[in-house]
Amino acid sequence: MNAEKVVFSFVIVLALTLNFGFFIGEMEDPMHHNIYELFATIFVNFLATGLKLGDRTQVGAVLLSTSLAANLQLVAAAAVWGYVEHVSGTGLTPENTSMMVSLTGGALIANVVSVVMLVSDTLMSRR
Amino acid sequence: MSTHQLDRVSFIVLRHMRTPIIVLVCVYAVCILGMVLVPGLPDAQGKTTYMSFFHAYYFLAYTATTTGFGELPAEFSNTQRMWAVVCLYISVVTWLYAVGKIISLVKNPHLQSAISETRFAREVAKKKQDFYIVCGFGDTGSLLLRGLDEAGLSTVVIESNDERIKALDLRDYKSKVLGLCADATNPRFLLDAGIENEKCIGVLILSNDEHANLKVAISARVLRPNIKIICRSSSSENESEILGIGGDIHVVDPFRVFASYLSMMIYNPTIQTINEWVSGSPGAVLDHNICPLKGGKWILCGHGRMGRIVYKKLTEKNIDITVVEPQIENIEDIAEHAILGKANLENLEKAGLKDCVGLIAGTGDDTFNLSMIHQANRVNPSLFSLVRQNKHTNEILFKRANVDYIMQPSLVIARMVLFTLTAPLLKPFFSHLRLLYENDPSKLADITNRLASEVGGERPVVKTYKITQKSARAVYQKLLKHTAVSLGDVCRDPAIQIEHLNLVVMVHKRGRTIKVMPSHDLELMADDELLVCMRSDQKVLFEANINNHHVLDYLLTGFEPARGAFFRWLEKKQWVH
Repeated sequence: MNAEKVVFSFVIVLALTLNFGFFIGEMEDPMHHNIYELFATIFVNFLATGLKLGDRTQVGAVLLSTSLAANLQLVAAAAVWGYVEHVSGTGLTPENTSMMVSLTGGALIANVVSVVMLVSDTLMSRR
Repeated sequence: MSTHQLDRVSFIVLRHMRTPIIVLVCVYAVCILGMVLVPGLPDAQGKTTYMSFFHAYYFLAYTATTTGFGELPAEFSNTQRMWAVVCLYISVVTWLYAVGKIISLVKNPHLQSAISETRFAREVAKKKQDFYIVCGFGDTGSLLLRGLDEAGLSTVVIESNDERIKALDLRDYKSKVLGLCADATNPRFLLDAGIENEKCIGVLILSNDEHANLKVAISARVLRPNIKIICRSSSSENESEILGIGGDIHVVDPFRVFASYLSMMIYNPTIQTINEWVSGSPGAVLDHNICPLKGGKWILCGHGRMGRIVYKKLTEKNIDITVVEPQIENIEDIAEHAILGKANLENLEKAGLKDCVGLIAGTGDDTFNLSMIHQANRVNPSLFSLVRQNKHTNEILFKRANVDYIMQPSLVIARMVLFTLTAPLLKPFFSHLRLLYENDPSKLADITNRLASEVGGERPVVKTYKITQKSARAVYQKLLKHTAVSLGDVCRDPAIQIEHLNLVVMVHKRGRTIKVMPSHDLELMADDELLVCMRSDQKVLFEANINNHHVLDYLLTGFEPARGAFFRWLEKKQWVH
């Protein structure tokens, strides 16, 4: 067992679990989606991106790209939330909430791909 | 190749940026979360307010980067102020750390060399012109590059000395010469220099390192089995090994080339004068020989690798020569013709300085050579002095010194390589001259006179032309139509057809047959090669002669046919009557 592998897999899996936790619930109901959870999701996703940098292998390159896709979606979701709260002032109407949640749903898929790749790569190495 | 290199650069950058990015992400997360959780001032209803994520991020964005905007979303409570102080310190330190990392990364020599290598490989791959790879940009390399540039040939350079590559960037070549600071013995850099590129037509290996030269020559041959290689080597064992590589390979031995050049200067001044004149040495003219002396006693200072060959060549030609050499092991075999000791005045006088005709200062030390000539000239002012200049940077000193002739080994070699590339037909020309010198010296004088009267002056242009669609369009087209074109025809003056241009065709080559100084009635055929020596102002005219249909028509017939339809009709009418 190797500490680097533990931290690496932990962060990647945590990115997925947090993302899922935020996404689950009624799409249009702002009560089901906690802002701190979104914040944690974004933070852990950025952290995962940082950890994936500098890997020269093909798998490393795909892992990095999934992370970049998830980041893009999550930042877009956060931007939507910030816009409706502070700029347009409409607050979390059902339409806004569903738009924001569906963006995080996209990030969830990217995170799932990332974890699947991580698991299959581990299984391939058979050690 | 280049994608692999690009990969390497981005890999180095990402590897180095990983830690700063992770640290930055963590610090931002902690600060933002703290800012959101810390209670703010109570609002109008007395309820404690909290900062939103957006405002917290905004606050941190201008604090952490030390911008210090001063515009706050709302007034802070004291708890918020405390947390802001904590945020400020840790985030500013983190930013400084990240920026410091970026700067040290940019200054990292590995990254810089990787970037310059990538850029070099990319620009070489974009080259549209045929080019040579030059390995080693010392004195010889730099003189050769100048010559190749003037001949319109493109080159790329690999040199291991960083200073020399910087010097290359500052040269005023007509076309930009790409240079890479790298060790050419690593085959990867040969690939970067485009050795596998079809546009690469030769590898010129000119460094001072014997072993490195051999290794580069072998890697070049392995990477491109048919490429032309010219390699410098001064030891005979190495030379046989290099020649053993096979294929189109030439070895240039600087000592041998220089020694034969120097000895030729003494025993065969006529040919050497032509050689200097053809090479375009400043001040070289055909009217008088550079070294006017025939018989007499000579003194040679220095009997090292080069001096030994000079001595052998000159004694073979029955020239009386005495050697002055400080090291006893160098003169053991020729003790009766040698004086042991440094070439100071005393030893030179022992060698017969007073009644000798010439002195060759041929040691490997420039200062020594100069002081020797200086001393000798005071004793015997009528002395003809030949001096070897080793370093190109000492040129000013040598030019000012009272020396009859300066010879630079690097220049001689550069010239030899240049002619091997641009005018390979000069070699048979000079062998022919040497043959004439031994058998029929009057004919040699005829050739010299012809060159002097028809071309003359200084710095003639010597160029090879091949009768092909590309380089001699008009002649080639005429030959396709079975119209006879003789050598005399293309040499005619386009202004007055019965006169000839000021040029001499030195060599004519058809297949394997080589004819030196061909006569004017020789009929040309496709794929013939001509080595033409002309005044520089005649080059344009001659090239028009062989490329322009109208000019060639006039040269062949002596009158200009009408070009417009009406005048052609008129001409026909006149013919009928």
